[in-house]
Amino acid sequence: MNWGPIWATAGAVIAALLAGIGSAIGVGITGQASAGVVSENPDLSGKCLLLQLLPGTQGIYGLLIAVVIALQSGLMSGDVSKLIADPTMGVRYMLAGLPIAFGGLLSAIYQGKVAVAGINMVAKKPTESGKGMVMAIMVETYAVLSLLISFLLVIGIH
Amino acid sequence: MIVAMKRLSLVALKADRDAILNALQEAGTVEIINCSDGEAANGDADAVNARIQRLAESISAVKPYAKKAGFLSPQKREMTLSGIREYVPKAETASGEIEELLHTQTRLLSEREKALSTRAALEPWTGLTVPMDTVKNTPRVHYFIGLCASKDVPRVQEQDYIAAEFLADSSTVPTILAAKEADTRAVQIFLKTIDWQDYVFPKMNGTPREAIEELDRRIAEIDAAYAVAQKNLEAQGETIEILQNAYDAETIDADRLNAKNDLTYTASAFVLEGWVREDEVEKTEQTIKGVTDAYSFETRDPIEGEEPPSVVKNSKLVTPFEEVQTLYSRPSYGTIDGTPYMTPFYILLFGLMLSDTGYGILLMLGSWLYIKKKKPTGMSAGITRVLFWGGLSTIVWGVLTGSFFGITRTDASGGVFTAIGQFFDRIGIFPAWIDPMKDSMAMLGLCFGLGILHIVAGYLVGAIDRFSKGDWKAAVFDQISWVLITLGLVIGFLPAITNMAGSPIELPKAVTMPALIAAAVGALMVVLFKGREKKNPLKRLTSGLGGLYDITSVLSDILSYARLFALGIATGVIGQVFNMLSNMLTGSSNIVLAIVGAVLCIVLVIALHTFNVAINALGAFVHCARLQYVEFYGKFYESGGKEFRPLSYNTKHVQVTK
Repeated sequence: MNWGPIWATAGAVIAALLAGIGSAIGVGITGQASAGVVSENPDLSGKCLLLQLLPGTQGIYGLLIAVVIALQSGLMSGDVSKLIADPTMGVRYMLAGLPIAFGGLLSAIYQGKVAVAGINMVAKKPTESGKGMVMAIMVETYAVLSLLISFLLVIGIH
Repeated sequence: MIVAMKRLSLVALKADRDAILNALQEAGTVEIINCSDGEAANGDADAVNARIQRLAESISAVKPYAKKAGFLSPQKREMTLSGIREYVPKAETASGEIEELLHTQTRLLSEREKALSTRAALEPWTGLTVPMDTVKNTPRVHYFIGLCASKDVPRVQEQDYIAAEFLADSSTVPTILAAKEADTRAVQIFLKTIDWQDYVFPKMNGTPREAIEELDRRIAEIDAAYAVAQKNLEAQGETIEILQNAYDAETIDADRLNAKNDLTYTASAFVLEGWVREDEVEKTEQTIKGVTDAYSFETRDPIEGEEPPSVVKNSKLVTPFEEVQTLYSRPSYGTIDGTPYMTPFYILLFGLMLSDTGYGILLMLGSWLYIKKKKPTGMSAGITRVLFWGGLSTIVWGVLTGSFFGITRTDASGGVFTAIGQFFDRIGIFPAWIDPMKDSMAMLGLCFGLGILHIVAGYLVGAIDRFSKGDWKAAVFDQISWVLITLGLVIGFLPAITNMAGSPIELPKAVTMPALIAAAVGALMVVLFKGREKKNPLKRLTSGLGGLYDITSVLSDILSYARLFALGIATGVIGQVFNMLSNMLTGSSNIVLAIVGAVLCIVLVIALHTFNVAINALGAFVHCARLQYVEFYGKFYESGGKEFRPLSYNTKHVQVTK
């Protein structure tokens, strides 16, 4: 059994999968809140949409790491000889995918919750939407940091 | 900078009041302070507020049916005040008609609801073949009409003093019972022991089946009437501009009428108290002089305990960035306006987060087009201009880091994308500086470097502000000390840090030693003087040592700039992934499929990159704002200023012109 490519694939999968799930949940709950607010006041749909988009970035970060793993490890081109020669390399890819997988999963969910609160704030005070966005972006910081460390670890594997 | 405010006291004759308020509203320079005793009832204001409410309801009722404004048509129509006032009577009529239509619709809906529920209740009784009004009590016979549970039907049949007619075979059986008048009481008691529900026929003629047909006819009529009302309402969609113009005209009047309530009165004069910008005092006095010469106009500086509104004034380039600051909070009056200091950093850092020449061009062109065509006002005017400058910076950073719509020098997306990448490689100046994918540590170092610059600038702005207020202790011990600590530690440990990162930068001891000494001096200043207000030396020392703990927050502030790098690669790599996806559609050997593929590829490239630039520009905008609010403003800014709300033309749909 050639474990190297399997581990590397697992790394790409876990990064895209978990971060994607997180964003789906985050965008989902903010979408529900937006729909409620917009049903009362359709003029606010633009502001609600911006807040709804914020928890969507973690999914993109997960995809990014998955693609970089696939490119870097040769999964994309099909040339996996390096992974077969050194299976620990595959394990390293898998481990490198973990920060954005879990950081993305949880930060997207919590960012979604903050964004829901922001949307409720917009319903009451439409002029304060910027503050709601800043509050949500505070949570995203940790997804960005996860992305960064995953990225640095992945491109460090030779 | 923050504009100085003057407290205005204006006394003039009551007879001139309306003319003066009109002129002041046109000038838009005075925020009137409410000085009335609070009981000045003003019937005019109430009436106009009620009219505004009605107009607002009418506007939202017909809005779905109004012609949509073109995508690039201006946000607000330009009209004169007298121009929009002319629409008030017309709008009155229109909103009356709209209200009437809405009432009709509500009434029809409730009638329909009622007819439907009557019909549903009659449904089980279609088995009755005689007119409903024939089933009524006579002097000798008493009828009981109701729904009987099917399990209780045998028990009803057992009662020999009741004649029963079961009209259907279902779980609840529509039943008509007849009994002698004398047995009425006995039947009532019996019915209580079984599952029985009384029913009363609606007051309608004919058999239940005929009544249902009649109800169906009625519902159809209601539906038709509703459709007519709906059509008329949709036709009213045309009146939306009339309604909006009138709404703004009435709002302007209401603001002025409400202002009357804020004045104090004597028998023949009134007193107006308010705030004026220092640079508009002259203009305000001229405005009043234009109306009357019987007035007293006095201004003075704000005194202790008063909280004047906070207005900032900046150069044309910096002004849009005031909106970014306002999103956080206005500066407290008498403190420092951060906008001019924040602006260069905002532009610099925004571009680094997107860092793609192609996206920069899109952003710049898009916001330029929006400003030219849409003529945005207020906050959106500021934000689009911020995006315009951010776009320019993005173009520059894109060249420096070598990314164009996600295509880099070493592009591997295939097809035309790789060809462009190879072209960049040949010309050799793209990237002009750092390739973040290859040289990620250098890029990260650059981000931290910019961060340190930003943070130190924050401390210095604070120091200059404290100096200018004459508080040199605060400037030196709270601000300069941290500049020494931050810069000293960074320079002192630079060789060690870069050595860990794999590309050591060697600095001579003659540089690192003094840097570390400076950091130690800074730390000593914090320890000794942080608690300089405290008398007890022990408490003072504890407070100083606690202050030194802030070094961790400086460290986390610096690390926070890692987002610059992460967001930069997020934009670039995702752009690259999108190119790769689009390219997969091309390259078929079949000529027809190749053409279809190429067309689809172009469509997909445009759609995906539009998405990418939109979501990343949003991210860059908010993340960059956060770096200003937390990392930069945290060092010197005092928030909590009040908004300046002068009496002016505060309109929603129309831009009032002369």
